Amino acid sequence: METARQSAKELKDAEFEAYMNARQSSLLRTAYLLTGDRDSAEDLVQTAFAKLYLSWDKVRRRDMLDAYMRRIIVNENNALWRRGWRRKEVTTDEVPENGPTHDQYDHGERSALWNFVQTLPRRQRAVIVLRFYEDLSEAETADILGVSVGTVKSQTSRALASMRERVHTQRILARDGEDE
Amino acid sequence: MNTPDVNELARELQARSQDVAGHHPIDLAGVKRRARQIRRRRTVVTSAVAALAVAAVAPAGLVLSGVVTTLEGPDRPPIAGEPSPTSTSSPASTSDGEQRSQGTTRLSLDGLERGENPRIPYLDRKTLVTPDGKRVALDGAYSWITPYARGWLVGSWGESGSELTFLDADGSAQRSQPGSQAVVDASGTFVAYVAAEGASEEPQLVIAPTMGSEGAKVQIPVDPSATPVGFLSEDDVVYKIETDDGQEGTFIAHAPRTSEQVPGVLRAWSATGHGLIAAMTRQQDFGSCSAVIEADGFDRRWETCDFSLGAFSADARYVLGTDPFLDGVGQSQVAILDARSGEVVAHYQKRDSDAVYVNNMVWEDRTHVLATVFDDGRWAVVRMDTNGGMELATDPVRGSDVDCPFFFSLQP
Repeated sequence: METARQSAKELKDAEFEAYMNARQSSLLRTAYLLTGDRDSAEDLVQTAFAKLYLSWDKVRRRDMLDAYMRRIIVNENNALWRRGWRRKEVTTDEVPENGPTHDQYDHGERSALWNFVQTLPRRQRAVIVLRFYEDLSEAETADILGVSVGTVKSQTSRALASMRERVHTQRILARDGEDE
Repeated sequence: MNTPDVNELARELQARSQDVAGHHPIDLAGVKRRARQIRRRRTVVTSAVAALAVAAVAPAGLVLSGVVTTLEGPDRPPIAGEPSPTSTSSPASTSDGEQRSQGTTRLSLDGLERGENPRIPYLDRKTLVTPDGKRVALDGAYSWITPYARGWLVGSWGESGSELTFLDADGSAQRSQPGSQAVVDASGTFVAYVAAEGASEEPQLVIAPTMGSEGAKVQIPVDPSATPVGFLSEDDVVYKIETDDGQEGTFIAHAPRTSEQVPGVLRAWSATGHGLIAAMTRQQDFGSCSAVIEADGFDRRWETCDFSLGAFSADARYVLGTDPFLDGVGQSQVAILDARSGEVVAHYQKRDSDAVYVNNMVWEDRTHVLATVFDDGRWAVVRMDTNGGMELATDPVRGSDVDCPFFFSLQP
């Protein structure tokens, strides 16, 4: 009996680890876009995997694992932002070994876009990342965020309007300045 | 179809995501460590709140004015074969058929009718809401509250562990100290918690009157990991220990200074003034077994490996049950068990595919249970009963699964 239990545990660990190794890079990228910070992203994904590990036996539909993980990551990210102590816990003054890269050929446009994304309210940012990075539909995004499709539409619209105003208008103004 | 600027945004997100491309910093050992932390945090919150719920309705006047206007007399022990007391009002919103199946009610917020507000004081984020609708703004968010001195004693769980805060009558914090979860006795006149306070630097199980002078405290030396789970009498408090090296045990503190170990059990879940203790007897990788034990002589009434146990009802007729494996994500079921036999009286279970779980539960009166239920991005207090009925006791509110907005007052 004890041996059977042990092998069930080993099987669970092996199955979970295989999923984790296969998907962590992709999920880390999503988490990074949500947090804008490598350490926070790693902490977020580790927490999400931990929650998945705890409920591994309850998740019957393995084809839904990615959706489940995205939901945990988005919700946990919101919680992390609400909890000051969690932010303090994971953020350090140390410069990461591999800091964010800068595209030297973007003439500032992409940096401006990235800076803009990082200033978005967390729900709008989640909508933008899920819709335009994960390429999810409005309905899928609404499902993950636990909001209506109408809310996804309005949040998307607001975020894009801000982007057009704050990024592209500034670019045009900057170029106008250069022209002079 | 995306506009050019949206395409540009998508390309930027793709490019930025490459900042962490090919990075695999997370390993299984780290995930399991984090899982243990989450499980421990959730278990502490859930089991402690459940253990506090040794039933009986707290008179509204007790909480509101600090004056005991009515107190129910001690309940007599249950008598075999006696019919269940009739409920004052039963949730009627759960229709037979879709929601109930083979004696089990589907645990979900969908389709529930709105019933009465909770008939005990509860916390709605930073506000104390009393049964008569009064709302008291508090200094912070807490996970339990009980009247104390001329104000309140509240508990919270933070990074450094469990903390006690003493509030004045207006809800303003007067002082805070590390301290365990608390329990109140059957009459609501004493509260017990573990803390190192006063002249002592060692942890003590403190039994303090909820009204009047703080000077009349009794302090009993206990292990630093001790947490009280219930009063057997005004002088006898059951507590559990869970040491850092994994030792678990259940003890009874006898005022003024001694403790005796309850043999054959691990951590206690709850205790009642009717002389019963609910405790875990065995822990397994994916489950546990629990028993109801006579405090006098430690005879086992019954044992189950289908549920872990929670609080007894005021008359000790029923005891709450939930998942045998507390995985830290939240409980998927609530059971009301016959405390004499372990027979399932009512059972609520989430559907496999539903993102539903229970965070904490408490006896509202002898036949009704209040539980905080998360259902796919919404939280609500749900009222359940011994007949399998279920209704909303608060309106659902949006929230993250890790931030339960509702907590209950300690129930004697």
